[in-house]
Amino acid sequence: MKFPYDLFDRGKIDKRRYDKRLRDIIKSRLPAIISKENIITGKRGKKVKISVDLLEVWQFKYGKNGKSVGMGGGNLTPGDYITQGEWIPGLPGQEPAGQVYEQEFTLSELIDIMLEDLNLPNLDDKKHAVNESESYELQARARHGGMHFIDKRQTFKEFLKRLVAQHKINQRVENQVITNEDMRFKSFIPRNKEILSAIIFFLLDASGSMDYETLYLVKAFFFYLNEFLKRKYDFVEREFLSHDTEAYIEPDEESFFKRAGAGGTCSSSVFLKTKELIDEKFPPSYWNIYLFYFSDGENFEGDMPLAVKAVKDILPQVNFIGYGEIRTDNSYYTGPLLSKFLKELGSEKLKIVTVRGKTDVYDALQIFLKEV
Amino acid sequence: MKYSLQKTIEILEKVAEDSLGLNFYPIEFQWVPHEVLMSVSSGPFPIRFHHWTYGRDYYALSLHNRLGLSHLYESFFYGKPSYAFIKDSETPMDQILVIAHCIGHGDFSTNNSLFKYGNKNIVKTVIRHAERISKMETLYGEKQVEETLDLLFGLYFLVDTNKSLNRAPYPEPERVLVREPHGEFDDLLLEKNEKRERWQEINKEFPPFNEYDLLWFLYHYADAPDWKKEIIKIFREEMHYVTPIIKTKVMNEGWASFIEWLLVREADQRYSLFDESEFINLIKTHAIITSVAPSMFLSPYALGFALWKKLFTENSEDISNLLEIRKNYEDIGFIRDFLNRETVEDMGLFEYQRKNAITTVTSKDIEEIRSRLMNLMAHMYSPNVYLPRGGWDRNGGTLRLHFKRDTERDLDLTHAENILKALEKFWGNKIILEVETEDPQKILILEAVDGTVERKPLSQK
Repeated sequence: MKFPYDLFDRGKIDKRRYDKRLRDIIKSRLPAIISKENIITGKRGKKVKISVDLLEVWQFKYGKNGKSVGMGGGNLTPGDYITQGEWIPGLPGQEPAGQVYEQEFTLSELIDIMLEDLNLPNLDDKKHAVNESESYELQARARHGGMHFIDKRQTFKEFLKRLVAQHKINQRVENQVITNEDMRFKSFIPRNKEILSAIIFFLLDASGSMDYETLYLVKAFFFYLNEFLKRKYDFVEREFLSHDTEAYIEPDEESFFKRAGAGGTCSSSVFLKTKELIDEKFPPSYWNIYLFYFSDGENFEGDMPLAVKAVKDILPQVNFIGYGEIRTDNSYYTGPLLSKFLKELGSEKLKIVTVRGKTDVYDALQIFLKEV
Repeated sequence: MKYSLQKTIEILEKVAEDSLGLNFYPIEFQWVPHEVLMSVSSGPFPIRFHHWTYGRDYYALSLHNRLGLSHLYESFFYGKPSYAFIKDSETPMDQILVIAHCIGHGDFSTNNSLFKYGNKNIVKTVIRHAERISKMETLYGEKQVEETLDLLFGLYFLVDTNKSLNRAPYPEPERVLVREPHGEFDDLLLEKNEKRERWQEINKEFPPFNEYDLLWFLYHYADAPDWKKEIIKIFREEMHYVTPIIKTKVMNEGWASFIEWLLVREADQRYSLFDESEFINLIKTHAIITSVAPSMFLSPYALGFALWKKLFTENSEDISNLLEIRKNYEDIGFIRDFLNRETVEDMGLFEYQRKNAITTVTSKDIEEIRSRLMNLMAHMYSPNVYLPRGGWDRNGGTLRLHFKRDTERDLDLTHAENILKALEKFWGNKIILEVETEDPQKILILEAVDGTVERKPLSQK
């Protein structure tokens, strides 16, 4: 009898379902995995083993302890201990399904799984910037040009079109002549490509209170953010700004990490500077604008109202602001934190997260980037 | 090989019938690529509705095969006709062995009494079921269907194949008038027309006896939408096909291995099918499968083969008694009657105990090993969980299940809690599981209500 092929192919089809389950479980365990493995500094191809003993159907079954019967133990006597390594465990194919499988994932794959469901919030795909350093597109319809650039195929097509229009198509083709009007030439015209435009502002508090541990967590966050953007939005623009009591525009990420660790804290400065940049270079009508700001929240008291005002002013122009406040255990600061003041703005576009350790970085990503 | 593969198959079948006295429904052999064999073998049926466990097992099976840890030769599915899938990349010699093996399976399933009522046309049924389930996935969502299937997979062995597939529901409660027997002094004690009779309520207890077929029970009495009940029906029907296989695993695989060995030998003797080197290779390959390599797991092939071979020798190489035995036995009885000291010694069987991280050898005594094996096989290798008489409170809706610790093994509590949670969700009411423990005075109670499970130790009532 003929078997219906798609049911026949269940191995692969069902494997996809299994993979999805696996991924869901991995995702739920990612916080633990992240804190264990050094995902950030590890090599991309490095493999991480995850034991997936959870992938069984729940059943009424016996526990692992108990008595059983083995074979080939002619030389054993009651009382002997058996340790793994001395025994060959036997053909796994005969073991009941549902044993512990250790599935290997490369770091890249783990990051993929981690970032799968994340998206830039409130992205408006109607906003397009005109990208000026564009491409030149081949246009083959120019009616004038040098013979060197003649497009033979297009010319011949035009020739035939004319014959049809003139009802000459049934006459012998050799008697027909390609005229000047038939000729078409290749030419290159500049094409302004319209692309979806988004600008991500990476803002960092580079003041003295940002110590090594704190900066490590920020690096971790920016690492994942970059991986995320690389995978999904490789065309976005980035700007890097850091601040102590004043704001600095940095050429790249490394620079502001280098600068960090000295000076006082005026968070307002970096928001004001960002607004300047937006007004100057990134009109909101053309750009999706995102801000990610990391600080330990230990802003100068006097600056707090200024910072709040600066954020309030910038909110209407942006799609989203994510603020991660890093509170490791090392701080002796007892005053009010920036987050307390910013919370009072109560804006949907502003999300505030407290990051205490590595696993919170993952949560921060989820809160900022996962659609609820 | 002297003849073509096709001709050799014909010869094997002929020898099986004429010389060995076997009889089997026609077997349709299908040659398939390796991947398809993996696909086909990752479940009890060559095809079935989609489920993620098949994906997992397909992956595991392929992995094991790729790593050379196990060599899957064939997949056999009994019926009329039976279907046998063979890897097309096997050498002709290996294929001969596989075919002889399948003939053994064919003969076993045609004659063993447990298979008598199994669906002979399972493939058509399974295809139909898969289409229904696919439709439900479209109508109600993959997730919902998967949830139901997951629950059923968890309860898969809670079917009672001793009763008919479609038995009627329990009789409803009634009030009947019961006449009592005439007493010796009734003529003095009773009024003139008074009789000894009274109204009695019968069929008050649900179930009226211990119910071992939980799937049947859920089908009839769960408050669930029709489509979910249909899935239960489908699953139960398919399980009825599978239970004979589970209950005769040792006998069946042993018989197939035994026939493989015997048939090839017999056919070669009569028809000179192979030259010497080919024949030696055949014997070698066969020996690998039935070999007794040191292992914590007792191979049904090895054990079954050893027992049948021994019976053959004891019967002076006359197969007639064996033909009778293969008709009427199942694994537990087979072990009980035919496993003796000789086999235990030959195979180096030993009993061991695993306690947390430590494994110790506990016995090499025939009596203990025999009863341990029978214990392991009881209830289809699964814990004895059932719905005791009166376990369903029809007023409140609570279901009280019972785990009977009759094999000296304990229930995995994590699994139990999780499946109770799923069961509670399905049933819609509280589910209690009474768990017998090592201490006969103590019973552990698991209570599943509102999505959580609580543990309560209790003394035995």
